[in-house]
Amino acid sequence: MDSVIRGVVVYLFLLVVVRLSGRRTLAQITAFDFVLLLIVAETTQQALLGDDFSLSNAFVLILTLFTIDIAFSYIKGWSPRAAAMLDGTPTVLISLGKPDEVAMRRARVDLDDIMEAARQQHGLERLEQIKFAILEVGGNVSIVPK
Amino acid sequence: MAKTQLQGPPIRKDGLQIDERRHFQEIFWTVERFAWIIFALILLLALLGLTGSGGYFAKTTQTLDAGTAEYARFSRWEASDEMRFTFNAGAGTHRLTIEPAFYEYLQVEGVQPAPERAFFNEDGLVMEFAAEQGAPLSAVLYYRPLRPGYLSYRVVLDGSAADLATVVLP
Repeated sequence: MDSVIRGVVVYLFLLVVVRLSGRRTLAQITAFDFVLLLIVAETTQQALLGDDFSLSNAFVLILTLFTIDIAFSYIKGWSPRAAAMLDGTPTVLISLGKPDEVAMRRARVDLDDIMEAARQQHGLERLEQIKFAILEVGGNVSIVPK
Repeated sequence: MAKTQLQGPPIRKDGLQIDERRHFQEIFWTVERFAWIIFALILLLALLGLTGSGGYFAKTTQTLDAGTAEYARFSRWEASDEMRFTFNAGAGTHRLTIEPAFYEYLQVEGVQPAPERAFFNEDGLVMEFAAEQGAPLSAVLYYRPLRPGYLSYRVVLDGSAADLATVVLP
């Protein structure tokens, strides 16, 4: 029982913190993100397992985490509102070549990030070559060239 | 669900077909900023010691006629902690009694110095420590919380009692 409760609590806590931290750079991990990811993974592992390193505990925890994940996928399928809450929604950062400064500021994405995505995806050289830039749910910026 | 997938996302005025939900985003961004303030406040509380494991408010000291008891206001489940009992100079043998409620929540990992003898009486576990006549004595009890919750217990130092309380955080 303890393993299941630990699994559910840690999963939900991480989900809430990651979602509220607004980290949308998971698709492009910087050195700082990598360090953060390592530390969080190690801390989470200890919180999940406690002092119990048995196979039974590991199996129960793994099943718990996968079951929650499956349950959430069904919830998201049933309710678009829940999907928006859990996964977020895409944000248009540049529309018809015009940057949306409010969206960029609040999503903490700057023009350098957009230009980097433009270079990687389409080999674009200048900002005016971008028609749309969208911050996707997964954290990556997708570019539609003019 | 199937109907939504077949229809696809709405088309914006600029021609982009995307379910942006900008109003929801605006609200969420505000909630996000509010959550960051909560994060900072929780960190501040942790620095002050209100989540245990060090900090100004993590431990407190209660003064009794026979000495002092320094104990944790906040301990953490499955994390080792300690409490310190200091006996005033006096008799050669000092006696520390801790009521059984303590042991239901906390597992004692060790006592330093080791008591000369330990036994149970109607008040709980009694530990007797030897000291030279007139010398003060300080005993440290190392423990590990077995479960989270609010623990209230009575300790008796050489006949003077104090009611202590520790919150064991999950």
